[in-house]
This record gives sequence, C-alpha cells and structure tokens, in this order.
Amino acid sequence: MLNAVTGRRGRYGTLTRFPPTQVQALNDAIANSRGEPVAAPVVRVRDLATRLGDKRIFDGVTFDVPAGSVLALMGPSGTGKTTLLRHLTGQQPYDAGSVQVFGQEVAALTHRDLYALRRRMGMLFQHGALLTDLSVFDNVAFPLRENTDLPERLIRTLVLMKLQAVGLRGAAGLMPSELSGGMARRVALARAIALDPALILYDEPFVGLDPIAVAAVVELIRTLNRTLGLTSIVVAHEIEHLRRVADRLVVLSGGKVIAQGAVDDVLADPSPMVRQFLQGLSDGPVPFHYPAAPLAGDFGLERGR
Amino acid sequence: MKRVPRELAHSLGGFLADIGVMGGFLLRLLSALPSSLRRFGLHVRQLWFIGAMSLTIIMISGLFVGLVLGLQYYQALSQFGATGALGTLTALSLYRELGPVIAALLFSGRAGTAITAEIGLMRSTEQLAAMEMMAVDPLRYVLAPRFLAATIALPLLCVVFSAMAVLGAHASAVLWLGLDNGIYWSSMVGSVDFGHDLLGGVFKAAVFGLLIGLISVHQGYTARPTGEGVAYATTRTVIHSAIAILAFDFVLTAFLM
Repeated sequence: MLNAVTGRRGRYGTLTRFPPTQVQALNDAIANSRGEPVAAPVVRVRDLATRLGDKRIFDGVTFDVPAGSVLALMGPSGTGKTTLLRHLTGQQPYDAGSVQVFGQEVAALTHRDLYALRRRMGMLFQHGALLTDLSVFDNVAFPLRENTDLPERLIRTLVLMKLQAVGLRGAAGLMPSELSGGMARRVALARAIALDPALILYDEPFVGLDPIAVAAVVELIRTLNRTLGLTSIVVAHEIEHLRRVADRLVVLSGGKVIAQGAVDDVLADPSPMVRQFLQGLSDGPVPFHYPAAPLAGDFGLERGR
Repeated sequence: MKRVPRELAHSLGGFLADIGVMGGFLLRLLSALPSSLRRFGLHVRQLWFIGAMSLTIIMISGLFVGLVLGLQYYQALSQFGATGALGTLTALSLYRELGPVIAALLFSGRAGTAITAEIGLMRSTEQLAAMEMMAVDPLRYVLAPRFLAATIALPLLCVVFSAMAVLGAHASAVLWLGLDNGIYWSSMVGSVDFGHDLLGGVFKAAVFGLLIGLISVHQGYTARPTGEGVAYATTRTVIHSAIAILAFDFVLTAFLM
C-alpha cells in the first residue's frame, strides 16, 4: 500500500515519503489493531473549566484530537467554541484543567515557546482577518517573511504555490478590499498554510458563503488534510457540510461535551439534547426563550390588577 | 460628607493603578523596540504617515498663532512703549510653552486619534489576533513603530510650528503694524538661549510625543472590538493626551526653570 501511494521504491526497499503526521497516524492505526497503546494525540483537552465574569463557559470539557484526523466542533452559538480555539492557541487563559497541543501544556508556556508553538499551527478566522494594508500576495508572504530568512525569490515561489492550492494565483495582485467573502477566506487559508503547519484550526469557515464557495472550502479542507497530513479542527454549525469533511464530531452544550465520537455514531445519538441540535428544533432541552420573569407579570395580567 | 474622602481615595487609587498599567505597557513597548527596528521600513512608513502628513495642520496653525501673538503683544506692549521687546516675548513664549503644547494638542487630534482608530479596527477585525497566530507579535510589528514615530515626529513638528509662528508674528507686527524689522530680529537673537529655551522646548515636545504615542497605541490595543468601543477609545485618546500634556508641561516647566 505504501508503494501505491508513494509510487516509487528506493534502493533499500520501500521509501516512505509520507508527512510525519500521516506516518504517525498510520503507526497508530497499526498499534491500535494490535491492541498496543496509541501515540499521543495532537490536541488533548482534560477537564477544562473557564469562567468569563459570572458566566461559566466550560465545565469539565474533555476530548482528544488524534493526529491526522479532522475533528468537527459543534454546539449552539454562545457555547464558547471560539473561546475553545483561543485556549488552544494560548490567546485566552483557562481557569482549570489541562489543554495540551503537541504534548505541551499551553498555559505553562513562556512567551517565546508559545510563539514557537504557534508557528506549527495555522488558523482560519471567521472573516479571514487579512491585513487590509497588504495585497493578497503580501498577506500570504507575511508569515514567511516574518518567521523565516528565506530569500525573496523562494518566498515568491512558495506564495504562488499556496495561492495555486486555493485557486487564487491570479488574484495575487489584488487588495483584500477587492475580494469577495469566499475569496478572502481562501486567501486566508493560503496564508494559514504558508508555514506548513501540522495543526490547523477553522473558525466558522462556511458562514456567509454562497454554495459554490462553500463547496470550494469543503474541498480544500479535505484535500489539505489528505495531501499535507494535517490535523484539523473545524468549528461550524452546518451538519451537512461537516459530514463531508469530518472524521470525528464533538458536540458542546452548556459548557459540557454532550456527545463525541465518529460522525455517524454521533448523528445516531438518541439523547434529546443532541437530537434537538442536529435536527435543528427551535425548542427542546435548549429552550427557545431566554430565562425571563413569568409572562403574566411583564404584561400586567396578574390577578387583582 | 464622609463619602467624599472615600470616593476621592478610591479614584486616586484607580488613577495610581492606571499609571502602573501604563508604566508596565511602556516597558513592554520599549522591550519590543529593538527587534522591531529590524523592520526599518515599517518605521519609515509610520514616520511619514504620522509626522509628514501632520505638517499641513501644524504649519497653518503655527502661522495663525504667530499672527495673533504679534497683534496682541504689539497692542499690550505699545501701552508701555516697549514694543522693542516684542521679538523677545514672542520667541520665548513660543519656544518654551506655546510651541510644544499647541503642537502636541494638535498632534494628538491629528495623529493620536488615527493611531487609536487604526489599531482598534485591526483588533475588531481580528487582524491583531491573526498576527499573533502567525507568530508575529503585534507589539513589535504594529505598536512599536507607531509609538516611536510619534516620539520622533512631535519634536520636529514643534520646531516647524515655532518657526511658522515667528514668521506669523513678523508678518502682523512688522509688515502690518510697522514695528522695525531689525528690532524684531535683534531682540529675538539677543535674548533667546539656544540650549535652555529652544532645546528645552524640543525636549518637552519629545516627552509629549512619547506620551501621545503611548496613550494612543494603548487605547487602540485595549479598545473593545466594536464600533462603539473604537469610538470611545479614540475619544479617550484625545482627553487623556490633553490632560497628560498639560500636567507634564507643568512638571517639566518646574524642572527646566
């Protein structure tokens, strides 16, 4: 099988040219089938707890993201999915529990180590977050120029390769204000993979895109994951798109993980909370109404008035 | 009545805490400066945008301040037959006080607000977060160049302001009201000390530039990421800068006397 993928045989037998994460994923699969312990996951979250002011955002969240997989993170809006991503990137501290990325406890890292960690991660922001005073080309070149000493000619080649991967090599000269929403997100994706990260985080990649742009982004997430051997975390609501992208699903609600596992298993989960969310029912365990005083009181309909 | 001292103590505590926060932020900025200087182009660009682009307002304002000073001093001094001191008075009030203070107030309105609004918008459009994710420290890439540009630009603008005002006072007192040209310049040359008066004023302007740079990048960096939050931050930049300029002017004048 290895030969089928690499397409060549070295002098001393099989020459494996897989990206390291994919090799690890393969090894894990082999170890798993033999009943041996699997290598450490890329992201490991244990008993995570966070409060924002008086509001409890997370209360004992635990999940793993195995190397080479695509994990979808779902949940009603306001459950702190974006906050969770910010915990992984070290942009927001957490109160208790453990968040490990590549085996490193994020909260314990120094400023320098945190930045070193971020060089191995890419993030696609909800609205792209392109630097508005730089052209498309310079946006993609930005992480390369700032983090490497590569000569400008090599940077040009790399940038055009990344832009080609998202189908926007022809847009290299445009400014971010000249791009449509879907194009901006693809440029942001090219920028996120500029440093060849091993882990990539997508924050709501499908929001506000037309069906064609959504299809393009879905295709890109899958292709990147397969060809670059990335590990991906996708935060989104759109179940129909996530089915095509994700290997595993984690559903968050009320600060807890209410379901997790392989996509089909979670979709078949019978618990009412999961059913309400996945079937899009407006009322259920997650109430339609925000907590309020009794209706009669607010409308002056109480007896004796 | 008991509440008054308590509230005073409370706001004083808040004020001291703010100073502590700003001091800490200043240290972070200064420590980010050396590595930021390697991207020299960024600094040149900011110096152009913050300094050179403020020249028009500084020059026009300086000219009018000078024109008014010439008129007022001529009228007041002529009552005592002392119009010969007009050059001295104009130069000293401009170099020591009016130049640095007015230029700084104008600068905070022109450049400080622009810095705050730009950084605040970068925060609200997640550009700063995106930079952090690309392992680029916004402090180094965005904040430090603007802070340094403000500190360098304001003393230079202050000199331009004073020069324009001296020409303005010359226009109204000499060309219009008929003061002797030689007396105007000679009284100025004779009584102005380059080190104490002129460089003292430029030093003041450098301190004001540092304060405006510090306040405007801090307000932008800590702005709430909404339209309203950026608006509040921009307003606060002007208010805090004005108070800081006038308060530090008093302190610096007392020391430089």
